[in-house]
Amino acid sequence: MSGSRRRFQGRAGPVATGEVFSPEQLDRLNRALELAAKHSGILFSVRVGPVRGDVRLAAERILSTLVEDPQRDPAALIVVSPGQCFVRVATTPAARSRIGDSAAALAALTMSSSFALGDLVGGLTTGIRQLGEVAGPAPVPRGGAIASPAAQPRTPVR
Amino acid sequence: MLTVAGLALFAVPVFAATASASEIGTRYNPDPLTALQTWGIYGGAIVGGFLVATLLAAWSSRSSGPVRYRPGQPWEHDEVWIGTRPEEIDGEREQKAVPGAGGASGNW
Repeated sequence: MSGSRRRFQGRAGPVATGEVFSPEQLDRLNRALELAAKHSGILFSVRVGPVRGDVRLAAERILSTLVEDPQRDPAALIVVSPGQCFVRVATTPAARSRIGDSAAALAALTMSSSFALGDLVGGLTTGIRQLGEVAGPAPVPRGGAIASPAAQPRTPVR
Repeated sequence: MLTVAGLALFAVPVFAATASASEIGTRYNPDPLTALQTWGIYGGAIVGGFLVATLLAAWSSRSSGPVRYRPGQPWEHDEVWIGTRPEEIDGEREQKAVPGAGGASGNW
């Protein structure tokens, strides 16, 4: 697994000292993401790593790069910084109508409870599942297939 | 499992060597042990057992795959993405604030 050694170009970061997730753990997380996206039609993404500056703003800025039009495309980003001990759930305006702030807060609380015990994978899978269930099934537009970005095929990150 | 195997590996040769010793006296008049032998048997077995267990524990923790997250300790890893990451999306998109975005935060 080379995921922990990838980084954005031009961004400085600490040196990796070991693998963060095993292939089995990555499979579990990818499966949870795919199930939640398939069920809700919302694009889910998770980023684990340190964040500089304002967490809320940083999460929104990253979220804006995941979808073409945040006002129209539903997407949710979970940002976890284990070193700084925080988790942030960010939703686009289109996803916010289905995953309210209170539901996001509940998912963040669930995840942080697991993280406090050192269980990153368990917390993330539970949080993703919870957000997917809160969002409910994907709305089917009249006379067409689901047009959300989560319905488009994508390659799982390994 | 590894600990038991290690202890067995340590104990079996010691017991075998002890059993094969010929000069042990008679059943009713065994040869007395010297102080060094006594300490070697009763102290060495305990210390050796702990040593083997410690070595096995250190070895197994070093050889395990992913790192174990321990709350409160610094996180010295690069960022990891699960799911769609911005680099995978065709065409670069500018990072911008999203008016009307929602969400929540949590700490531990």
